[in-house]
Amino acid sequence: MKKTHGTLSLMVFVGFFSFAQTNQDTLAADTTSRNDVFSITLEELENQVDDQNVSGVLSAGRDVFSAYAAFNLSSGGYRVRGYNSRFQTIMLNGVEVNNPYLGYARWSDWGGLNDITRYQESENGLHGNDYAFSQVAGASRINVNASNVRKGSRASYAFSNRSYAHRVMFTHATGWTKKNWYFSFSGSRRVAKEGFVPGTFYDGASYFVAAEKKWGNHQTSITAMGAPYYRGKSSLAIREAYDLTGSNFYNSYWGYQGDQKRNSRVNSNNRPIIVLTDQWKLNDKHSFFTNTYYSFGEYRNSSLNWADAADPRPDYYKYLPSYFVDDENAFNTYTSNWQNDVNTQQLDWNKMYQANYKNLYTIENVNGTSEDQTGMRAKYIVEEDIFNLNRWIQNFRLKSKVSDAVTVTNVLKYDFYNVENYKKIDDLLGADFWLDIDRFADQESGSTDNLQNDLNNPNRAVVEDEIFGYHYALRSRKAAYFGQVNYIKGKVEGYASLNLENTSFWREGFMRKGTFEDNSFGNSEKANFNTYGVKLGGVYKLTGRHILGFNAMSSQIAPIMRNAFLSPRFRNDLINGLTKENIQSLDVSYTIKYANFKSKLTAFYTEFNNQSQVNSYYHDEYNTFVNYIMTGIDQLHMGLEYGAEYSPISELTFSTAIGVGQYVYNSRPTATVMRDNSDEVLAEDKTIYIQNYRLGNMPQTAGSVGVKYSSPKYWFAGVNFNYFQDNYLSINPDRRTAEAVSGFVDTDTQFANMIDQVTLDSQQTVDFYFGASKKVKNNYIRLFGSINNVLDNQDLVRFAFEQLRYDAANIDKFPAKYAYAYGRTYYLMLTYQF
Amino acid sequence: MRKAVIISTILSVFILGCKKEFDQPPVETIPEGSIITIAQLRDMYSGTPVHFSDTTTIFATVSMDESTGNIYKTVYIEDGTAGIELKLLSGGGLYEGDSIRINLNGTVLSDYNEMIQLDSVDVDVNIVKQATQKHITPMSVALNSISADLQGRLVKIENVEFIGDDLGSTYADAINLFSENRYLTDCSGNQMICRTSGYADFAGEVIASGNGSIVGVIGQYGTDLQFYIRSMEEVDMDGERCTDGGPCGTPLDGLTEDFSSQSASSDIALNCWSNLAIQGSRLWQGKEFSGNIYAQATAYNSSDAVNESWLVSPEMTFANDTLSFQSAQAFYAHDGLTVWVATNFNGADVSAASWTQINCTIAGSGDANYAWVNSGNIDLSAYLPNGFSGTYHIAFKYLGNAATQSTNYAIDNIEIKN
Repeated sequence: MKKTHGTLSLMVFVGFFSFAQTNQDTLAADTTSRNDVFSITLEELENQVDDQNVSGVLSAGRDVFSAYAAFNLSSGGYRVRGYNSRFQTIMLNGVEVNNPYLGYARWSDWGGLNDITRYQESENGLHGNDYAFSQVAGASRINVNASNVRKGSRASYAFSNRSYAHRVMFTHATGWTKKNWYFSFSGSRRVAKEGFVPGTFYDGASYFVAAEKKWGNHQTSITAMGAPYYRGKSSLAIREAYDLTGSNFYNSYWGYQGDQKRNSRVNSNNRPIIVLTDQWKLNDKHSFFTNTYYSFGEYRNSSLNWADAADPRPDYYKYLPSYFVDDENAFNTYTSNWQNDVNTQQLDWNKMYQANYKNLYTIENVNGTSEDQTGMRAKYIVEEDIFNLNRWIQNFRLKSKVSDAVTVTNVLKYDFYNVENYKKIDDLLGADFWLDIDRFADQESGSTDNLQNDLNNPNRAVVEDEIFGYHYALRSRKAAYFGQVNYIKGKVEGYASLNLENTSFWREGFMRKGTFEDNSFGNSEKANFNTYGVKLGGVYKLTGRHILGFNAMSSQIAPIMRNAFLSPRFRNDLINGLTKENIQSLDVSYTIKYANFKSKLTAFYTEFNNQSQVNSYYHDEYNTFVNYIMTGIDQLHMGLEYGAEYSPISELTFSTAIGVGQYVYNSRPTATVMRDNSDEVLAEDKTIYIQNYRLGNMPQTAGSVGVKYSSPKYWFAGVNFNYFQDNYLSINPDRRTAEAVSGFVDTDTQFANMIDQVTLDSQQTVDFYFGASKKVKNNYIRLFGSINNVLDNQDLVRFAFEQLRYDAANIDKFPAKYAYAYGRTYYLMLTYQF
Repeated sequence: MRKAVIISTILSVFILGCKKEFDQPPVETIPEGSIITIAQLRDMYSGTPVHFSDTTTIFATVSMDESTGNIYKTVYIEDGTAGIELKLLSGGGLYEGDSIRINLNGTVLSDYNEMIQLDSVDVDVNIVKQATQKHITPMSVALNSISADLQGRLVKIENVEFIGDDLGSTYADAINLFSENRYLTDCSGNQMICRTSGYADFAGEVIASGNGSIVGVIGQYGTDLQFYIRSMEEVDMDGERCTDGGPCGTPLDGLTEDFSSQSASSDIALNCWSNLAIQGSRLWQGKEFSGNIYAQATAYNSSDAVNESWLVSPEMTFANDTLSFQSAQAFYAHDGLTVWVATNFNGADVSAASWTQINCTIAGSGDANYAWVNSGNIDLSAYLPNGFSGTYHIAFKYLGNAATQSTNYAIDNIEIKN
């Protein structure tokens, strides 16, 4: 019986899926080819890598497939349905907090508050949602009310070799007092002198304080939370660096200062969140919810900067042996240094200090005066890019029970987002000052105006903690209405939702840039978008055990600010052709539910149309930094998901999850190439031939099987086998243009090397976990442990992309960059609940 | 006990470690070894590379840096003795006017197509900056006197122009970033390559079309000497071209100069005349009295130790010429004016020429302040070889000092005729 249904449904979906085998885009010659670091930005990759564990917890849904996707498959880079994480709606107390700049919420804002975030509701993929118009990837709703934390105390200690080494956490909730108050507290501290990757460190402390009061028909809660941390980051590198150092975890960001490892890229975050929630039960039918969200504070990223000096990055292409391929002596010397000299392999901090100590320099007309200033001018500094956030969201929600079968939700929302962007000097590395000019600006003969970052304050000698380089604000205002009707009766459950939004955003510059004298200071033009979305879905219960479901969505969405501005650090310009994006999505599913067998098969089809993207990089053909603006990027995502669980005896559960997808570019976008430091348009209406190229940086096929044994004596253990396939190197769009291959004919190997998309090797991992609990009087002691990647597979590519910089005549000059998933790691947690 | 656990846990949780502070490494000093001059350094080169492994040191000043993009990973330095090209391991960090000490350890003295260079210089390891903004005054040379001896030196060439074929071209190919050769010429037809990189910030500018002076560094490529411009501000070439009767195209048969074209209190700047400060920085200046402009030199109130200022006539063709002029002195302290003739002056370097002093009447202690004294007609053949028929220059030399020899000397109404 079960099998019959499974086979039947598979046949239905095979038909659906078969038309996914479309022809791939061609460039003159018929060569196989496919997709992107431009659909997933580097920032987003980092967000994933940093908070791997947390994001898994957040997006873990209830069904088998979602649980696997969140835990086992995400470790191999699997993304549910291949979606960008900006299409996953994250909510705090029902308020959507995805940020309008990047489109997604930063998990790290509440990292380390696992005792709180465990109380979250998740849905994977397209769903109805009573709180907000959740996007195609689904939604996670974290409840941060005081009363949502279970009464009692929990203390835990975790020990690991992943991003942190030690974590202590303590959570306490009072329960309702006699005066109808409820107080909760949670805090944790996470530290690592060095994480799994060399040179990374972690130092974080998280807090959560909440109070709630019942009064009249109201229940009101206020919560303050935050997760300040510092952490050292890890780099991506080309294969040569990994091969030279013999490790796929080579990290170019650190170097020795004295006998200490110092990481040049430190990410820190201190952005408290305050949430005020009032639940007002008007009567039996209507409840009114008022939510106020306020967040403020700084998110910082440090990095090295240098001027009139050698590039300090150890893996700069001119310092690698391959650069000296025609000079055997140099090749051998560099190879030997890379293998034996830590100051060649890693950053040489001492060299930077010594360079700064000796660089006597006179700034003429310093700070816009007629004075001169003489001192040690920094050649190297550590600077911090700072996002200083202020965000206020006001949300009103009315939930009405119209009849036994029908409930209606109406939401009004206003979201004001203001982020000031600037950089400050974190460390002058022994120098007296940094001269604040733009080393990339073209100097005009006889004038230094072009070089000025701020004509209102030219030739500045900057010292630590001063703002320099760039300074601007991005502001966004969004007003939205959302409504959903739910219907539940008999064999049918359904919903219909409507979303209406008005989004406007703009830039305000606080510096007058030399190269953009007339369009850098003050307010930019406002971008304004009116968008709508509709969603419809439901399930039909053939019987209580066999359920058919579908979800459909058609929606427009305002572009994210990240892809809307041209060189926003320097100028007040929106890109040309900026439009709203369109999303159409459909999924159908078939679920089987027995006591000892559960299974769900889903087929999905999603189109993303009219996306834009801006990238900045050094373009070798034009010999300058460019802004590479692409518009009209379409994506098509389709595939199947299957999850099943079977328990032959109650102690033993077998389970599996399989995702098979095709995530491809579905258009030939148009590119405009502009010089980064002037108004000059280098190329216009360049056609990018990427139709049917695959999206990179995720296995498009992945599967996992597992078995878990749960003893009646309060312990359990399980093992999972995971498999990842169809992972593609993210492509450089400019290599798929007529211009890029103009020097070759289609039979040249260079032609294929230029445009073919690289498929990465399939990979497999094994995860093991166990747990036990014991009751001591009325308290519990719990132990949980896991070993991920037991077989220590160190070749599992987590991110890989073709560098945007390339040399058409020598495509191997700037090879692809890679980052690898951790090898074998362990995690052990002891919890005491009292 | 339970409370203690709770409280201590809470406390430990809230203490977020401050950002790590790192010890600053100590300054590594660069040793100062035996000192040699750049001329001595150049003399060490005999065709095979010299690898330095000791702490031999030179002191020098940067004469040209990379900031305009005309040179890359290269700077030029000089001391009083010579100049040389430095090839840097990585660009940047040295600027015009930097007074530097170079420890030669690890560097290599070599040549690149005949251009002697000090190669493999690591600015952060080999060089200590002593001071900034000690800008070098370019050496004045005539185009036809430039030789390989001047490799790496900053020079100023007067009275030159770009050849006619180059007019309308840009200094280099700024689009494709290619270097280009343009040709400088004097009015006698001598030529020199002016080579500019496509990366120079002035590469796309149209070359100067007139005649005048240009400042730059002398380089060499094979047998070709080359000229590298530092900046457009030092290309002062908007005078009349040679073919337009221009400055000093052909030697003159005679002249009269009453300085009426000059401005009071400005340095004398006459076409084809050379106004040179040989010691100190003072030049001959225009002065005005009762509407009459004349030329004056003085060491009065000078901050220089000695002032030696030369005003040299255009090149003259000899044909039994005679010279006459007027001189005057004021605030007499010494006899400071002498008059000279030479047949081999190159238009720029007075020390390279052999001068013969002319005896004539010059204002002295017996004359009133600013009373003009006529020199009388001087027969120049007495100071030139028998039967001489070539060209020559007349020079008015002022020599004085502020302490004891501060007389003002003025000259006017110079006339040479035959």
